[in-house]
Amino acid sequence: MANPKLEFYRFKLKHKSEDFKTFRDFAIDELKVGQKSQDDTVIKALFKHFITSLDGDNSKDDKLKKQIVLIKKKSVNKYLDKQPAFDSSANTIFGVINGGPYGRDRILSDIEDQEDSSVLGQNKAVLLYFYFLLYLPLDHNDGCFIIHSNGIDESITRLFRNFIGNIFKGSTYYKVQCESFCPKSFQDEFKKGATLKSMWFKKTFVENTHNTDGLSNLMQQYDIKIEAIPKNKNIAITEASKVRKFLAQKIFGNNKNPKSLNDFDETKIRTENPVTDSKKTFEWNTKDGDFVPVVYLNGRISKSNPDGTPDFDELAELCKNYFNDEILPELRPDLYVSRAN
Amino acid sequence: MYQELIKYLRILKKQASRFERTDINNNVDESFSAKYLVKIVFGIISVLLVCLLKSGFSESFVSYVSSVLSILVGLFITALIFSFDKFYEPSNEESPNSRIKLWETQAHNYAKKFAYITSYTIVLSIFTLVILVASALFEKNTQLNVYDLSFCFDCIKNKDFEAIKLFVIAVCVIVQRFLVLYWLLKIMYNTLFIVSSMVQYMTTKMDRK
Repeated sequence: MANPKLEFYRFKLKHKSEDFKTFRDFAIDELKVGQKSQDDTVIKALFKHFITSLDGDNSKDDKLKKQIVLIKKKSVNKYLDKQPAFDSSANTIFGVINGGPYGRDRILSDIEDQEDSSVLGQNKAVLLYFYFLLYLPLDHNDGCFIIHSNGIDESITRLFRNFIGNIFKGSTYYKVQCESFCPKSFQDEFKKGATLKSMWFKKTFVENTHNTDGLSNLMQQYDIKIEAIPKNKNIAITEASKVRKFLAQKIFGNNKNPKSLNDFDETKIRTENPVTDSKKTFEWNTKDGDFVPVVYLNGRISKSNPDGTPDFDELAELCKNYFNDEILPELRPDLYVSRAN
Repeated sequence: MYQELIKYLRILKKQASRFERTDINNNVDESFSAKYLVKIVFGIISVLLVCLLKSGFSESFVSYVSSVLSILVGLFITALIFSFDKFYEPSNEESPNSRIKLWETQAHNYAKKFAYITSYTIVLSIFTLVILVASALFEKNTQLNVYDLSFCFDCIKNKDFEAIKLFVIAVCVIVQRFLVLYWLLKIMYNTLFIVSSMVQYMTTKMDRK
Protein backbone atom coordinates (compact mmCIF):
# COMPACT_ATOMS: atom_id res chain seq x y z
CA MET A 1 0.00 0.00 0.00
CA ALA A 2 1.36 3.35 -0.98
CA ASN A 3 2.12 5.82 1.78
CA PRO A 4 1.52 9.18 0.12
CA LYS A 5 3.32 12.14 1.58
CA LEU A 6 4.10 15.78 0.93
CA GLU A 7 7.57 17.25 0.78
CA PHE A 8 8.49 20.91 0.97
CA TYR A 9 11.44 22.63 -0.62
CA ARG A 10 12.53 26.23 -0.81
CA PHE A 11 15.02 27.83 -3.16
CA LYS A 12 16.58 31.20 -3.80
CA LEU A 13 17.37 32.78 -7.16
CA LYS A 14 21.12 33.30 -7.46
CA HIS A 15 22.13 36.10 -9.79
CA LYS A 16 25.76 36.14 -10.85
CA SER A 17 26.42 39.73 -9.80
CA GLU A 18 23.50 41.04 -7.73
CA ASP A 19 22.36 39.66 -4.43
CA PHE A 20 18.65 40.29 -4.83
CA LYS A 21 16.93 39.46 -8.08
CA THR A 22 13.26 38.59 -8.16
CA PHE A 23 11.43 36.11 -10.35
CA ARG A 24 10.13 39.11 -12.30
CA ASP A 25 13.76 40.07 -12.94
CA PHE A 26 14.47 36.50 -14.01
CA ALA A 27 11.60 36.65 -16.51
CA ILE A 28 12.84 40.01 -17.82
CA ASP A 29 16.50 38.92 -18.05
CA GLU A 30 16.11 35.36 -19.26
CA LEU A 31 12.65 35.01 -20.78
CA LYS A 32 12.70 38.41 -22.50
CA VAL A 33 9.55 39.73 -20.89
CA GLY A 34 9.05 43.51 -21.18
CA GLN A 35 10.28 45.68 -18.30
CA LYS A 36 6.86 47.16 -17.68
CA SER A 37 4.85 43.97 -18.13
CA GLN A 38 1.87 43.30 -15.91
CA ASP A 39 2.15 40.57 -13.26
CA ASP A 40 -0.19 38.39 -15.27
CA THR A 41 2.10 38.52 -18.31
CA VAL A 42 5.19 37.76 -16.22
CA ILE A 43 3.71 34.75 -14.41
CA LYS A 44 2.36 33.52 -17.75
CA ALA A 45 5.91 33.64 -19.16
CA LEU A 46 7.25 31.74 -16.14
CA PHE A 47 4.47 29.19 -16.54
CA LYS A 48 5.28 28.79 -20.24
CA HIS A 49 8.96 28.37 -19.33
CA PHE A 50 7.99 25.65 -16.84
CA ILE A 51 5.78 23.80 -19.32
CA THR A 52 8.28 23.97 -22.20
CA SER A 53 11.04 22.81 -19.84
CA LEU A 54 9.00 19.66 -19.18
CA ASP A 55 9.72 18.72 -22.78
CA GLY A 56 13.40 19.67 -22.53
CA ASP A 57 16.58 18.02 -21.32
CA ASN A 58 16.09 19.09 -17.71
CA SER A 59 13.04 16.89 -17.36
CA LYS A 60 15.13 13.71 -17.70
CA ASP A 61 17.88 12.49 -15.43
CA ASP A 62 20.05 9.69 -16.76
CA LYS A 63 21.56 9.02 -13.33
CA LEU A 64 18.23 8.69 -11.60
CA LYS A 65 16.75 7.16 -14.75
CA LYS A 66 13.58 9.11 -14.25
CA GLN A 67 11.58 11.55 -16.30
CA ILE A 68 8.93 14.15 -15.63
CA VAL A 69 6.63 15.20 -18.40
CA LEU A 70 3.12 16.31 -19.16
CA ILE A 71 1.32 13.83 -21.39
CA LYS A 72 -1.14 15.92 -23.35
CA LYS A 73 -3.16 13.06 -24.83
CA LYS A 74 -6.53 13.05 -23.17
CA SER A 75 -7.04 9.36 -23.93
CA VAL A 76 -3.84 8.49 -22.04
CA ASN A 77 -3.58 11.12 -19.30
CA LYS A 78 -6.46 10.42 -16.93
CA TYR A 79 -5.97 13.66 -15.05
CA LEU A 80 -5.30 16.00 -17.95
CA ASP A 81 -8.06 18.28 -16.65
CA LYS A 82 -5.82 18.83 -13.58
CA GLN A 83 -2.78 19.70 -15.70
CA PRO A 84 -0.58 22.58 -14.48
CA ALA A 85 -2.16 26.02 -14.38
CA PHE A 86 -1.12 29.32 -12.82
CA ASP A 87 -2.63 31.80 -10.42
CA SER A 88 -1.17 35.23 -11.10
CA SER A 89 -2.58 36.77 -7.91
CA ALA A 90 -0.91 34.12 -5.72
CA ASN A 91 2.18 33.73 -7.97
CA THR A 92 1.73 29.99 -8.03
CA ILE A 93 1.87 27.23 -10.62
CA PHE A 94 0.14 24.01 -9.62
CA GLY A 95 -1.30 20.85 -11.05
CA VAL A 96 -0.74 17.21 -11.84
CA ILE A 97 2.27 16.17 -13.88
CA ASN A 98 3.49 12.76 -14.94
CA GLY A 99 6.74 11.20 -13.95
CA GLY A 100 8.45 7.91 -13.43
CA PRO A 101 11.37 5.62 -14.18
CA TYR A 102 12.85 4.53 -17.50
CA GLY A 103 16.06 2.91 -18.64
CA ARG A 104 15.34 -0.70 -17.68
CA ASP A 105 14.36 -3.64 -19.81
CA ARG A 106 10.92 -4.51 -18.62
CA ILE A 107 7.94 -6.56 -19.69
CA LEU A 108 4.47 -5.21 -19.96
CA SER A 109 2.14 -7.98 -19.00
CA ASP A 110 -1.55 -8.43 -18.32
CA ILE A 111 -1.95 -9.75 -14.78
CA GLU A 112 -4.84 -11.96 -15.89
CA ASP A 113 -3.37 -13.16 -19.16
CA GLN A 114 0.37 -13.76 -19.32
CA GLU A 115 0.16 -14.39 -23.06
CA ASP A 116 -0.79 -10.78 -23.47
CA SER A 117 2.64 -9.36 -22.80
CA SER A 118 5.07 -7.18 -24.66
CA VAL A 119 8.50 -5.67 -24.28
CA LEU A 120 8.87 -2.34 -22.55
CA GLY A 121 12.21 -1.05 -23.80
CA GLN A 122 14.78 1.06 -22.01
CA ASN A 123 13.48 4.11 -23.81
CA LYS A 124 10.01 3.69 -22.33
CA ALA A 125 9.10 5.43 -19.10
CA VAL A 126 6.41 4.23 -16.72
CA LEU A 127 4.62 7.39 -15.66
CA LEU A 128 2.52 8.05 -12.63
CA TYR A 129 0.61 11.14 -11.51
CA PHE A 130 2.12 13.62 -9.10
CA TYR A 131 0.68 16.84 -7.73
CA PHE A 132 2.87 19.87 -7.15
CA LEU A 133 2.48 23.52 -6.14
CA LEU A 134 5.25 25.88 -7.13
CA TYR A 135 5.53 29.40 -5.70
CA LEU A 136 7.41 31.98 -7.78
CA PRO A 137 6.97 35.39 -6.14
CA LEU A 138 7.38 38.13 -8.70
CA ASP A 139 8.60 40.62 -6.11
CA HIS A 140 10.96 38.28 -4.24
CA ASN A 141 13.84 35.86 -4.79
CA ASP A 142 12.69 33.14 -2.41
CA GLY A 143 10.48 30.49 -4.00
CA CYS A 144 9.23 27.16 -2.80
CA PHE A 145 7.41 24.07 -3.90
CA ILE A 146 5.31 21.32 -2.41
CA ILE A 147 5.44 17.95 -4.11
CA HIS A 148 3.52 14.81 -3.46
CA SER A 149 4.90 11.29 -3.68
CA ASN A 150 3.54 7.85 -2.91
CA GLY A 151 6.56 6.48 -1.09
CA ILE A 152 10.24 5.95 -1.80
CA ASP A 153 9.69 3.96 -5.02
CA GLU A 154 6.93 6.13 -6.40
CA SER A 155 8.59 9.48 -6.17
CA ILE A 156 9.84 12.16 -8.54
CA THR A 157 10.94 14.47 -5.75
CA ARG A 158 14.68 14.33 -6.44
CA LEU A 159 14.16 14.78 -10.15
CA PHE A 160 11.70 17.63 -9.65
CA ARG A 161 14.16 19.29 -7.29
CA ASN A 162 16.93 19.08 -9.90
CA PHE A 163 14.49 20.22 -12.58
CA ILE A 164 13.58 23.35 -10.62
CA GLY A 165 17.27 23.93 -9.90
CA ASN A 166 18.08 23.83 -13.59
CA ILE A 167 15.17 25.77 -15.10
CA PHE A 168 16.03 28.83 -13.03
CA LYS A 169 19.60 28.75 -14.26
CA GLY A 170 20.36 31.22 -17.02
CA SER A 171 23.03 33.28 -18.69
CA THR A 172 23.18 35.57 -15.66
CA TYR A 173 21.81 33.18 -13.04
CA TYR A 174 23.44 30.23 -11.30
CA LYS A 175 21.62 26.96 -10.76
CA VAL A 176 19.40 27.27 -7.69
CA GLN A 177 19.76 24.97 -4.71
CA CYS A 178 16.52 23.53 -3.38
CA GLU A 179 16.60 22.95 0.35
CA SER A 180 14.23 20.69 2.16
CA PHE A 181 12.18 22.50 4.76
CA CYS A 182 9.06 22.14 6.77
CA PRO A 183 6.90 24.88 8.24
CA LYS A 184 7.53 25.41 11.94
CA SER A 185 3.90 24.71 12.78
CA PHE A 186 4.31 21.14 11.45
CA GLN A 187 7.50 20.69 13.42
CA ASP A 188 5.76 21.87 16.58
CA GLU A 189 2.78 19.63 15.87
CA PHE A 190 5.07 16.62 15.56
CA LYS A 191 7.23 17.49 18.53
CA LYS A 192 4.32 17.99 20.91
CA GLY A 193 4.42 15.21 23.49
CA ALA A 194 6.58 12.99 21.28
CA THR A 195 9.37 10.78 22.57
CA LEU A 196 12.44 9.58 20.74
CA LYS A 197 12.07 5.99 19.57
CA SER A 198 15.28 5.67 17.61
CA MET A 199 17.92 7.65 15.81
CA TRP A 200 19.18 6.43 12.51
CA PHE A 201 22.34 7.36 10.57
CA LYS A 202 23.08 6.40 6.99
CA LYS A 203 26.15 6.76 4.80
CA THR A 204 27.12 5.33 1.45
CA PHE A 205 30.68 4.01 1.47
CA VAL A 206 32.75 3.50 -1.64
CA GLU A 207 35.82 1.29 -1.27
CA ASN A 208 38.84 2.99 -2.76
CA THR A 209 41.51 0.42 -1.97
CA HIS A 210 42.45 -2.83 -3.71
CA ASN A 211 43.08 -5.71 -1.37
CA THR A 212 43.38 -9.44 -1.49
CA ASP A 213 40.58 -10.49 0.80
CA GLY A 214 38.10 -10.08 -1.98
CA LEU A 215 35.69 -8.05 0.05
CA SER A 216 36.24 -4.86 -1.90
CA ASN A 217 35.67 -6.69 -5.13
CA LEU A 218 32.59 -8.20 -3.63
CA MET A 219 31.15 -4.91 -2.46
CA GLN A 220 32.64 -1.78 -3.93
CA GLN A 221 29.80 0.43 -2.76
CA TYR A 222 27.46 -0.09 0.16
CA ASP A 223 25.19 1.72 2.57
CA ILE A 224 25.85 1.58 6.28
CA LYS A 225 22.85 2.21 8.47
CA ILE A 226 23.31 2.57 12.21
CA GLU A 227 20.29 2.77 14.46
CA ALA A 228 20.49 3.81 18.09
CA ILE A 229 17.49 2.79 20.21
CA PRO A 230 17.16 4.17 23.73
CA LYS A 231 16.38 1.40 26.18
CA ASN A 232 14.22 1.64 29.30
CA LYS A 233 13.92 5.39 29.07
CA ASN A 234 11.58 7.87 27.44
CA ILE A 235 13.52 10.71 25.90
CA ALA A 236 11.54 13.80 24.94
CA ILE A 237 11.89 14.85 21.34
CA THR A 238 13.12 18.23 22.51
CA GLU A 239 16.23 16.43 23.79
CA ALA A 240 16.93 14.97 20.34
CA SER A 241 19.65 17.47 19.52
CA LYS A 242 21.56 16.50 22.68
CA VAL A 243 21.22 12.81 21.78
CA ARG A 244 22.45 13.49 18.28
CA LYS A 245 25.40 15.46 19.62
CA PHE A 246 26.27 12.56 21.91
CA LEU A 247 25.99 9.95 19.16
CA ALA A 248 27.69 12.10 16.53
CA GLN A 249 31.04 11.59 18.28
CA LYS A 250 30.87 7.79 17.87
CA ILE A 251 33.10 6.38 15.20
CA PHE A 252 32.52 3.80 12.50
CA GLY A 253 35.03 2.42 10.01
CA ASN A 254 38.58 1.17 10.22
CA ASN A 255 41.60 2.64 11.98
CA LYS A 256 42.94 4.24 8.83
CA ASN A 257 39.71 5.83 7.76
CA PRO A 258 37.39 6.39 10.71
CA LYS A 259 34.09 8.15 10.11
CA SER A 260 32.18 9.77 12.90
CA LEU A 261 28.42 9.49 12.77
CA ASN A 262 28.40 13.26 12.38
CA ASP A 263 29.87 12.76 8.89
CA PHE A 264 27.07 10.42 7.84
CA ASP A 265 24.90 11.74 5.02
CA GLU A 266 21.48 11.22 6.53
CA THR A 267 20.05 11.32 10.00
CA LYS A 268 16.51 10.30 10.68
CA ILE A 269 14.70 10.01 13.94
CA ARG A 270 11.65 7.93 14.66
CA THR A 271 9.31 9.27 17.25
CA GLU A 272 6.36 7.93 19.11
CA ASN A 273 3.61 9.99 20.59
CA PRO A 274 1.77 8.16 23.37
CA VAL A 275 -0.81 10.95 23.54
CA THR A 276 -1.90 10.76 19.91
CA ASP A 277 -0.69 7.17 19.49
CA SER A 278 1.16 8.09 16.34
CA LYS A 279 4.59 7.20 15.04
CA LYS A 280 6.41 9.73 12.92
CA THR A 281 9.66 9.93 11.04
CA PHE A 282 11.76 13.07 10.86
CA GLU A 283 14.71 13.75 8.68
CA TRP A 284 17.41 15.77 10.34
CA ASN A 285 18.46 18.87 8.52
CA THR A 286 22.09 18.98 9.63
CA LYS A 287 22.62 22.39 8.08
CA ASP A 288 20.09 24.12 10.29
CA GLY A 289 20.21 21.51 13.04
CA ASP A 290 16.50 21.17 12.66
CA PHE A 291 13.89 18.52 12.03
CA VAL A 292 12.29 18.07 8.66
CA PRO A 293 9.22 16.00 9.40
CA VAL A 294 7.68 13.97 6.64
CA VAL A 295 4.07 14.99 6.18
CA TYR A 296 2.16 11.80 5.46
CA LEU A 297 -1.21 12.26 3.86
CA ASN A 298 -2.97 9.42 5.63
CA GLY A 299 -5.45 11.04 7.95
CA ARG A 300 -5.16 14.38 6.18
CA ILE A 301 -6.94 13.34 2.98
CA SER A 302 -10.25 11.54 3.19
CA LYS A 303 -10.83 10.67 -0.47
CA SER A 304 -8.54 8.68 -2.72
CA ASN A 305 -8.41 7.73 -6.38
CA PRO A 306 -9.30 4.17 -7.45
CA ASP A 307 -5.58 3.28 -7.59
CA GLY A 308 -5.03 4.31 -3.95
CA THR A 309 -3.35 7.63 -4.70
CA PRO A 310 -4.82 10.70 -2.97
CA ASP A 311 -7.72 12.49 -4.61
CA PHE A 312 -6.09 15.31 -6.55
CA ASP A 313 -8.85 17.86 -5.94
CA GLU A 314 -8.64 17.35 -2.20
CA LEU A 315 -4.84 17.30 -2.36
CA ALA A 316 -4.87 20.59 -4.30
CA GLU A 317 -7.08 22.16 -1.64
CA LEU A 318 -4.86 20.81 1.14
CA CYS A 319 -1.68 22.09 -0.53
CA LYS A 320 -3.30 25.47 -1.12
CA ASN A 321 -4.30 25.70 2.54
CA TYR A 322 -0.85 24.62 3.74
CA PHE A 323 0.72 27.12 1.40
CA ASN A 324 -1.44 30.04 2.52
CA ASP A 325 -1.68 29.24 6.22
CA GLU A 326 1.63 27.61 7.08
CA ILE A 327 4.26 28.26 4.44
CA LEU A 328 3.65 31.81 3.27
CA PRO A 329 3.78 33.40 6.76
CA GLU A 330 7.13 31.68 7.32
CA LEU A 331 8.59 32.20 3.87
CA ARG A 332 7.39 35.76 3.38
CA PRO A 333 7.08 37.55 6.72
CA ASP A 334 7.36 40.82 4.78
CA LEU A 335 3.85 40.23 3.37
CA TYR A 336 2.46 40.50 6.87
CA VAL A 337 3.98 43.91 7.55
CA SER A 338 1.20 46.46 7.32
CA ARG A 339 1.03 50.21 7.24
CA ALA A 340 0.19 51.90 10.51
CA ASN A 341 -3.00 53.95 10.48
CA MET B 1 -10.69 76.28 18.22
CA TYR B 2 -10.81 75.14 21.82
CA GLN B 3 -12.73 72.00 20.88
CA GLU B 4 -10.38 71.34 18.00
CA LEU B 5 -7.38 71.77 20.28
CA ILE B 6 -8.80 69.28 22.80
CA LYS B 7 -9.57 66.87 19.96
CA TYR B 8 -6.05 67.12 18.49
CA LEU B 9 -4.41 66.72 21.89
CA ARG B 10 -6.50 63.66 22.67
CA ILE B 11 -5.64 62.09 19.31
CA LEU B 12 -1.97 62.91 19.87
CA LYS B 13 -1.97 61.37 23.35
CA LYS B 14 -3.78 58.24 22.16
CA GLN B 15 -1.61 57.72 19.08
CA ALA B 16 1.65 58.46 20.90
CA SER B 17 0.70 55.92 23.55
CA ARG B 18 -0.08 53.34 20.84
CA PHE B 19 3.04 54.04 18.78
CA GLU B 20 5.22 53.69 21.86
CA ARG B 21 4.20 50.03 21.82
CA THR B 22 4.24 49.61 18.03
CA ASP B 23 7.28 48.44 16.12
CA ILE B 24 8.12 49.46 12.56
CA ASN B 25 6.30 46.38 11.23
CA ASN B 26 3.10 47.72 12.83
CA ASN B 27 2.97 44.99 15.45
CA VAL B 28 1.42 46.40 18.60
CA ASP B 29 2.68 44.96 21.89
CA GLU B 30 -0.44 44.55 24.01
CA SER B 31 1.33 43.03 26.99
CA PHE B 32 0.87 44.45 30.47
CA SER B 33 4.54 45.35 30.77
CA ALA B 34 4.52 47.22 27.44
CA LYS B 35 1.42 49.15 28.48
CA TYR B 36 2.14 49.94 32.09
CA LEU B 37 5.71 49.11 33.18
CA VAL B 38 7.28 52.45 32.27
CA LYS B 39 4.30 54.33 33.73
CA ILE B 40 4.49 52.39 36.99
CA VAL B 41 8.28 52.78 37.32
CA PHE B 42 8.17 56.51 36.52
CA GLY B 43 5.18 56.92 38.88
CA ILE B 44 7.05 55.24 41.76
CA ILE B 45 10.21 57.28 41.11
CA SER B 46 8.17 60.49 40.97
CA VAL B 47 6.34 59.70 44.24
CA LEU B 48 9.65 58.94 45.96
CA LEU B 49 11.16 62.20 44.70
CA VAL B 50 8.07 64.15 45.78
CA CYS B 51 8.51 62.66 49.27
CA LEU B 52 12.18 63.66 49.28
CA LEU B 53 11.48 67.19 48.07
CA LYS B 54 10.32 68.72 51.32
CA SER B 55 10.12 72.32 50.19
CA GLY B 56 9.56 71.89 46.45
CA PHE B 57 11.74 72.91 43.51
CA SER B 58 14.55 75.35 44.06
CA GLU B 59 14.78 78.50 41.95
CA SER B 60 17.90 77.16 40.18
CA PHE B 61 16.12 73.90 39.34
CA VAL B 62 13.19 75.78 37.78
CA SER B 63 15.57 77.95 35.79
CA TYR B 64 17.68 74.97 34.67
CA VAL B 65 14.71 72.81 33.66
CA SER B 66 13.05 75.70 31.81
CA SER B 67 16.20 76.30 29.76
CA VAL B 68 16.62 72.62 28.94
CA LEU B 69 12.99 72.19 27.95
CA SER B 70 13.05 75.33 25.78
CA ILE B 71 16.05 73.97 23.92
CA LEU B 72 14.40 70.56 23.55
CA VAL B 73 11.18 72.06 22.21
CA GLY B 74 13.16 73.97 19.54
CA LEU B 75 15.18 70.88 18.72
CA PHE B 76 12.15 68.62 18.45
CA ILE B 77 10.19 71.03 16.27
CA THR B 78 13.16 71.19 13.88
CA ALA B 79 13.43 67.38 13.94
CA LEU B 80 9.70 67.07 13.27
CA ILE B 81 9.85 69.34 10.24
CA PHE B 82 13.01 67.64 9.03
CA SER B 83 11.41 64.19 9.37
CA PHE B 84 8.38 65.17 7.28
CA ASP B 85 9.95 64.46 3.91
CA LYS B 86 13.22 62.85 4.94
CA PHE B 87 12.09 59.67 6.62
CA TYR B 88 9.35 58.64 4.28
CA GLU B 89 9.87 58.82 0.55
CA PRO B 90 7.27 56.92 -1.48
CA SER B 91 8.77 54.66 -4.13
CA ASN B 92 8.34 55.74 -7.73
CA GLU B 93 8.98 52.27 -9.13
CA GLU B 94 6.14 50.71 -11.10
CA SER B 95 6.81 47.18 -9.88
CA PRO B 96 8.76 47.51 -6.65
CA ASN B 97 10.27 44.31 -5.29
CA SER B 98 9.48 43.01 -1.82
CA ARG B 99 12.52 44.71 -0.27
CA ILE B 100 11.49 48.13 -1.58
CA LYS B 101 7.89 47.53 -0.49
CA LEU B 102 9.04 46.46 2.97
CA TRP B 103 11.43 49.38 3.35
CA GLU B 104 8.73 51.79 2.23
CA THR B 105 6.19 50.37 4.68
CA GLN B 106 8.71 50.39 7.52
CA ALA B 107 9.76 53.96 6.65
CA HIS B 108 6.11 55.00 6.66
CA ASN B 109 5.52 53.36 10.05
CA TYR B 110 8.70 54.78 11.54
CA ALA B 111 7.92 58.28 10.22
CA LYS B 112 4.51 58.12 11.92
CA LYS B 113 5.93 56.75 15.15
CA PHE B 114 8.64 59.41 15.14
CA ALA B 115 6.14 62.19 14.40
CA TYR B 116 3.66 61.18 17.11
CA ILE B 117 6.24 60.54 19.83
CA THR B 118 8.20 63.71 19.03
CA SER B 119 5.04 65.83 18.94
CA TYR B 120 3.83 64.33 22.19
CA THR B 121 7.21 65.06 23.78
CA ILE B 122 6.93 68.69 22.61
CA VAL B 123 3.45 68.93 24.16
CA LEU B 124 4.70 67.39 27.41
CA SER B 125 7.60 69.85 27.46
CA ILE B 126 5.20 72.77 26.96
CA PHE B 127 2.91 71.49 29.74
CA THR B 128 5.92 71.07 32.03
CA LEU B 129 7.03 74.61 31.26
CA VAL B 130 3.50 75.88 31.95
CA ILE B 131 3.18 74.23 35.34
CA LEU B 132 6.72 75.26 36.21
CA VAL B 133 5.56 78.85 35.74
CA ALA B 134 3.60 78.39 38.97
CA SER B 135 6.92 77.87 40.80
CA ALA B 136 8.14 81.21 39.50
CA LEU B 137 4.84 83.07 40.02
CA PHE B 138 3.91 81.66 43.41
CA GLU B 139 7.34 80.94 44.77
CA LYS B 140 6.28 81.00 48.41
CA ASN B 141 3.25 78.73 47.97
CA THR B 142 5.04 76.21 45.75
CA GLN B 143 7.92 75.89 48.20
CA LEU B 144 5.49 74.82 50.91
CA ASN B 145 6.82 72.06 53.14
CA VAL B 146 3.89 69.64 53.37
CA TYR B 147 5.58 67.76 56.21
CA ASP B 148 4.89 70.81 58.43
CA LEU B 149 1.14 70.42 57.86
CA SER B 150 -1.30 68.13 59.54
CA PHE B 151 -4.79 67.17 58.48
CA CYS B 152 -7.54 68.90 60.50
CA PHE B 153 -11.03 67.37 60.19
CA ASP B 154 -12.54 69.93 62.55
CA CYS B 155 -11.47 72.77 60.28
CA ILE B 156 -13.61 71.32 57.44
CA LYS B 157 -16.54 70.83 59.79
CA ASN B 158 -16.13 74.41 61.03
CA LYS B 159 -15.73 75.67 57.46
CA ASP B 160 -12.36 77.23 58.20
CA PHE B 161 -11.71 78.90 54.82
CA GLU B 162 -7.99 79.50 55.43
CA ALA B 163 -7.41 75.84 56.34
CA ILE B 164 -9.34 74.62 53.30
CA LYS B 165 -7.39 77.01 51.08
CA LEU B 166 -4.13 75.70 52.57
CA PHE B 167 -5.27 72.13 51.94
CA VAL B 168 -6.09 72.92 48.29
CA ILE B 169 -2.73 74.65 47.85
CA ALA B 170 -0.94 71.66 49.43
CA VAL B 171 -2.73 69.25 47.07
CA CYS B 172 -1.96 71.46 44.04
CA VAL B 173 1.70 71.71 45.11
CA ILE B 174 2.00 67.91 45.46
CA VAL B 175 0.27 67.36 42.09
CA GLN B 176 2.51 69.97 40.45
CA ARG B 177 5.68 68.41 41.84
CA PHE B 178 4.54 64.93 40.82
CA LEU B 179 3.57 65.99 37.28
CA VAL B 180 6.80 67.96 36.71
CA LEU B 181 8.92 65.01 37.80
CA TYR B 182 6.80 62.41 35.99
CA TRP B 183 6.75 64.39 32.75
CA LEU B 184 10.45 65.15 32.98
CA LEU B 185 11.18 61.43 33.24
CA LYS B 186 8.86 60.79 30.30
CA ILE B 187 10.48 63.55 28.23
CA MET B 188 13.92 62.16 29.01
CA TYR B 189 12.78 58.64 28.06
CA ASN B 190 11.20 59.81 24.80
CA THR B 191 14.27 61.93 23.96
CA LEU B 192 16.53 58.91 24.35
CA PHE B 193 14.21 56.90 22.11
CA ILE B 194 13.98 59.64 19.47
CA VAL B 195 17.72 60.17 19.22
CA SER B 196 18.73 56.51 19.30
CA SER B 197 16.04 55.33 16.86
CA MET B 198 16.74 58.22 14.48
CA VAL B 199 20.45 57.33 14.33
CA GLN B 200 19.60 53.65 13.85
CA TYR B 201 17.14 54.46 11.08
CA MET B 202 19.56 56.75 9.27
CA THR B 203 22.49 54.33 9.38
CA THR B 204 20.28 51.45 8.22
CA LYS B 205 19.05 53.56 5.34
CA MET B 206 22.63 54.47 4.40
CA ASP B 207 23.65 50.80 4.50
CA ARG B 208 20.80 49.88 2.15
CA LYS B 209 22.21 52.20 -0.47
